[in-house]
Amino acid sequence: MTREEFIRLAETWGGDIGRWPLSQREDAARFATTEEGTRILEEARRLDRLLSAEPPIDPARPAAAAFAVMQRIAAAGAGEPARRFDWLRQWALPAMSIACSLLIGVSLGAALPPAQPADQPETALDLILDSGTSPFWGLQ
Amino acid sequence: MEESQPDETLMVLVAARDQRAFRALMQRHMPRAIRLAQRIVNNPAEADDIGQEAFMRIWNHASSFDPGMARFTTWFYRIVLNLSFDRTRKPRHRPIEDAAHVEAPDAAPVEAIIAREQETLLARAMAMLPDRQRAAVALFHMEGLGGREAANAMGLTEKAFESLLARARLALRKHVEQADEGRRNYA
Repeated sequence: MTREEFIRLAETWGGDIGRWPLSQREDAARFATTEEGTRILEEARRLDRLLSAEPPIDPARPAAAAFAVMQRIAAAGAGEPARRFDWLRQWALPAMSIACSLLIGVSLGAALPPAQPADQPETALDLILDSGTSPFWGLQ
Repeated sequence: MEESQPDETLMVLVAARDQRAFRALMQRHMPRAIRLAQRIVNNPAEADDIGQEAFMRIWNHASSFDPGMARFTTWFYRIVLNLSFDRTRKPRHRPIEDAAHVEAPDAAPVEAIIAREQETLLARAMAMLPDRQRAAVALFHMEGLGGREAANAMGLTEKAFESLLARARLALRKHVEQADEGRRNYA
């Protein structure tokens, strides 16, 4: 590894060779044992120390933020029961209506045998006005 | 029990709407979210908002997390970074000094002064960098991520991340040297 290459890597990745790209570490470790290598790494470590400092954060802040998140979730959850039955309104009720209509149609069809051949228009009328069904529907 | 579970296991529980698992995840990572956001937006109140918003997204999109695609921390850092970049795009006031005035609770007086000076110096230097360079420095140096993981969190190739980090360190080194020179001239 050349001196320039070593400097470039130190300036990019800092003074800890263990954090450099794996493929470079072995060569770099050899150069690091030289006086110049040691000096370059020490210089890079000074900047590393400054850059790795964490911003001062009051320990209560993360807890307060987490509490606020739980409150927001609870507030959003209060509206959930209404949404929970949305599928019922969207799909189940129309499906049930169609099923009921079919059921009524089929039961009527089964209960009222046509008095006339099915291909005649009067048949449909008879299905409704047939005297046998009159007691079910009202006045005779 | 949740406290000892790996992040990815907790996320499976969170996707099943387990609030205990979610609280454990927040306890573990909320300080990290706020710290990273503060380094980028340089504003404590906004950093707290970003921490909150990041976890709301995690709660709302837990089922979209795929542990086979990425580690939880990579996904999490990406959420925090995106929210932070969104904030920095909006014009706003940046109170650089605010961060420097919070006392470190256990530091001795002289050490506290040095730490405060260094924090001010770093905050000023970081404020001069573009957002993405600031994020590269924060992920690699402050969060201690490796080059590959930091690149993944930023959605970059390793080569692109290397170039970003190199430019950021060069700019910061120049700024620190100028500050040192200015201090020597003043003395």
